[in-house]
Amino acid sequence: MIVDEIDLVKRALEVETPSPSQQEDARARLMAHMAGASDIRVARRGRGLRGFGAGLGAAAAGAAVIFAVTSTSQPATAPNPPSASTQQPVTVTPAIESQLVSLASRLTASQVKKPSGDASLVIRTQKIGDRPAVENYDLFTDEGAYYYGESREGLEGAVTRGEDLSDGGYARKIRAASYAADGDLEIARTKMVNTMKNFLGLGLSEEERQRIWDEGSSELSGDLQEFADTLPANPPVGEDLRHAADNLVWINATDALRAGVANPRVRAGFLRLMSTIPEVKVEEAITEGKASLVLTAGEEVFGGGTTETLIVDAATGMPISSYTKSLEEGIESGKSVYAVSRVRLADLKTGQ
Amino acid sequence: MASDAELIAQSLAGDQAAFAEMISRHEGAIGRFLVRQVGVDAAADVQGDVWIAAYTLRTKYDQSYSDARPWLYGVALNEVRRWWRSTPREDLMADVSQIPGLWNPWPTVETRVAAREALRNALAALKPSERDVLALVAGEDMAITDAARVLGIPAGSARRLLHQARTALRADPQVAALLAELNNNEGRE
Repeated sequence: MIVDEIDLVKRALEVETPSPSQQEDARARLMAHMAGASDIRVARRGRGLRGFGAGLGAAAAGAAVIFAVTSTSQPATAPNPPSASTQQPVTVTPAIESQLVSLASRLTASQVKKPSGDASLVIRTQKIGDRPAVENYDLFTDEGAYYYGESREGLEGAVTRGEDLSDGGYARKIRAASYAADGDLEIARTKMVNTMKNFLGLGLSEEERQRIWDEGSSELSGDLQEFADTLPANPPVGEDLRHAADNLVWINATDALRAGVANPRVRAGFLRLMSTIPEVKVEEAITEGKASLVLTAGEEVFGGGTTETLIVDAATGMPISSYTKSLEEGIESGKSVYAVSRVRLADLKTGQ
Repeated sequence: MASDAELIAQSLAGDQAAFAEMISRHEGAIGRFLVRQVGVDAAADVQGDVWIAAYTLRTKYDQSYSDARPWLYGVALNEVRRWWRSTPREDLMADVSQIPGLWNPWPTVETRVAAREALRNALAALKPSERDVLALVAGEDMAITDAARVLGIPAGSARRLLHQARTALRADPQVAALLAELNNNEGRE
């Protein structure tokens, strides 16, 4: 066959198709643009959005896996910086690279104006099992305080009485998520795990971990005695430890997202932390007309038969909705939707 | 299956998923076009720009064309030109020479080096409008009428530009030598 100048140029221009991840990135930018082109704030508030499975058994399942006492208000016993001498097999590079990390990068790089107000009001409409849906009013201040009411009036009363329920926990989670926005992921995971008391001793030496584990076992009593009797003599290592840490990263980071929802660094940190959990499945979807990312954590993260799904806006990382499903007896499946808005704390005080 | 034009119409009615489906049909072709034009590193960024521009411009889409690919090439070409304008001049040709797999047909390193330089020089000597038509016809396997649609010029003008480009390449001594060598090699195989 005779080669002519067109063939020559054709051969010269032979290239491979861009990789799937490059095409995903390009598509994600379109999705983000399409989502941003709509009136996000009004639509989100009007519809009422999501919840993170709180109170649906996720924490209980988590406790069984990680040997953490979720009701405590104390920070973790373990310090934040991981020790070089420890054997923790914590994943330090994003396991889910494309969508989560690219959105996190955009959020971190964005020059978003500080939102008005000094607190985020999250109206959570929660439906558990066959019971009627109920509304919950969560108020997270930018300082990390947390107020709760079952109605707007109830919330106003809590604010007026100064009933801050956070005990510093949400502030720690917000700080850890903010660090994760562009910090070292191994350290970020350790920080996030240790925002809640647990007995993993993540980041400590073997001896120190064993001591914390033993102390934790001896603290369990009452209803938890039966659970304590099933515990192994030594703290988890290897994959078991990673799964346990993943469980706490999910639970605490989703709390951080809820509490620090107005802060793009918190949302970015949440996404980067999620990217370190290999078992979190990420899918693109259109949710109520919005381009969204669907994050699903299954048995590997929660143990037992629990699956938690969190849907976030593909452009902003804002939470949209969530579902918790459980096959375990006594733990009902449920759905939460959230409406997020910015308010001034002073405006919620009764009579103002 | 809905045509591209129908999907664009649906997107204008508020169905964003329809637009996403439409672009998913052309990701490979437009992606390769961009790799050729701006290099593999910049292609992903520019591709995002292309989709966003297409979404913005979809109100102007002529829905009498069921296939949106030529239109998307046109949008992509505009974004490529925008990218060129924002990129230092000395970097442009380097991208052409660094395209992966560029010179695989040639048997020796020495020949590949010479061939790269020869075609690079010859393409650089073409007018931009001639290169555009050539890139679409040779690179994208596009009919000359579609190339004209992409470039927004009459089909007759596109034919003339292609003819000029081909004539100029054939007249280039180094390209002529390459073609002679290639045809000799292929004749022996």
